[in-house]
Amino acid sequence: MANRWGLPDLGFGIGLRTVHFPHILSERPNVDWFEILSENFMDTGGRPAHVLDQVAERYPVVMHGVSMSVGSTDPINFTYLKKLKELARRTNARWISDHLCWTGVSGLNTHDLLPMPYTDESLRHVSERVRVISDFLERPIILENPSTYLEFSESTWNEWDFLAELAERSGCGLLLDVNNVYVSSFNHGFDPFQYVESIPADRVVQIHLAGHTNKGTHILDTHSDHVVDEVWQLYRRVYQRMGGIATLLEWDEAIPDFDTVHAEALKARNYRTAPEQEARDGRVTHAA
Amino acid sequence: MAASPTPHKRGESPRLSQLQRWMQACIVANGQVEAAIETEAAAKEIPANEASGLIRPSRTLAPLERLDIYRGMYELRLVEALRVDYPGLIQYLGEDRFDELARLYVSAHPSQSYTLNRLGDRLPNFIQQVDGIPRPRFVEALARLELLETLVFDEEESPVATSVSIAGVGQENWGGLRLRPIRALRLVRLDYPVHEVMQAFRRGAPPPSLRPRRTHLIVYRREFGLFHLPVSAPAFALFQALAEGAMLEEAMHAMFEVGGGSQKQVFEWFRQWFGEKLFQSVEVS
Repeated sequence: MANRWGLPDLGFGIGLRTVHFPHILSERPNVDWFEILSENFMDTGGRPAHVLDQVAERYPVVMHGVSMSVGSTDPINFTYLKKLKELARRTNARWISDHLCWTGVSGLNTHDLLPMPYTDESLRHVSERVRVISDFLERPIILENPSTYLEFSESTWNEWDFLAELAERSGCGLLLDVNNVYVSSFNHGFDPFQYVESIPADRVVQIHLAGHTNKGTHILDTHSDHVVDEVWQLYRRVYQRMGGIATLLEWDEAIPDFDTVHAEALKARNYRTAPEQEARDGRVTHAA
Repeated sequence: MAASPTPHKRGESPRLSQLQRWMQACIVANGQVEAAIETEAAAKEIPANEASGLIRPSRTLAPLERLDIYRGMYELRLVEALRVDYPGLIQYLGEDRFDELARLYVSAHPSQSYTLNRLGDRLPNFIQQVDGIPRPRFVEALARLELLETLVFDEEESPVATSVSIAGVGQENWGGLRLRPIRALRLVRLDYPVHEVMQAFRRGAPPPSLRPRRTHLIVYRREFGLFHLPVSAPAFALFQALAEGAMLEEAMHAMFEVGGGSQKQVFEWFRQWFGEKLFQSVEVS
């Protein structure tokens, strides 16, 4: 199923990270696409900008940010958005994403993806801000479900219904982070398959995969390891329900060599299988 | 800063803005989470005895333990950002002492930007306010140089002028020349030769003498590498005047005020500066 904007399935991408710059420039690896962390390239004109220009010439680029703070009750930062828009023009970014979260208030930035209470007030607030931001950027923004480590008592929506309603009201697209679904399901005790079954498929423009750190009492979204099997199984289900969607592997801590990261991203191909093919192969599909 | 439209009433759900101000106050507060919810900034939004009720417990964690996860990540993330910008300070102070300095700094100067790139801009000045830093004037000088390196690293590229640009200018017009440095360049006077210390750290060699020595440096980027060029006080005065927009004749006056340089020396400096690609344009006024 294609998303409603006709944004393409770019295939299997990886995040553009500094440690891989020399390899990418010298080897020109056969990667489908790159995702950049927007803030890492907004205020630098040196080597990162030079590398980015070369990457953007050869590969499709998607921008992923962490400071839009779409859920904050502070005023929208139009200086930030202006720079974001300029970077998107420079890189010919296929789309711009950020998170359903807030990062700070009262003029501060915690640089963390802080959780929203899922209430009617939040829904109205975020919907309005998404509309304003999308108008400014002149494109739909794509919002990712964050990993969260607490839930507010006053929440009256579950996260998947909140996201679906937000998308409907605001017109935003969704970046479905399958690892985040799993992390939050562990931390909050919900069924991750119910989550992915409930997300409106025609809104999903991109998928994230990543490794995490299980602390026993909770899981942290550290992007520091291989993708675990439970997340691959969720990804398989997403594919069966939604079809091929641009898929990105995130690896941000203890980053291994380029080929290891790329190989992890390409594993996703193995999970893009239809139920009937699995039945033929004798593989078991999770009964959601 | 948005004012709270209505104060929180006991037993009622807080407004979104109150909840966010409360959570942020808890996250940035020092000490244990139990103390964080009692800080003035947090308690004025939500009374401390209602804090636990705002968060659902999980199967394994109590409400405040869940809040504490965000507190721990906040500190780690910001300290890590400073560690990236100040590797020399880490090497000199040691990791534990640097991390303690970073925590104090972040508490005094929390981020107000969408980017972490400039989080550490006030660290050199902050060092003098912290008790227990060994050789604080040396450490401040080291931090100042590392800060300049981050600024030079992030600067926009600019075109490069070659000495050919000057060759076509008649000698009678040299006094009116304006030489504009590249953008990825900063000038700094330091009380210690900390660039020698940083270079030793980068080679993995023991640092040279840490005794004070007035040092004039041009810090610049060339082909994406960072360099330090130590210069004499007169050469520094000459370059600084040019960087501030003075004509060559005026810049030479500035140079003579700090002891001057011979014609041969000046020619040698310019030969080196053009060789290092430190100018982006040469104009005749």
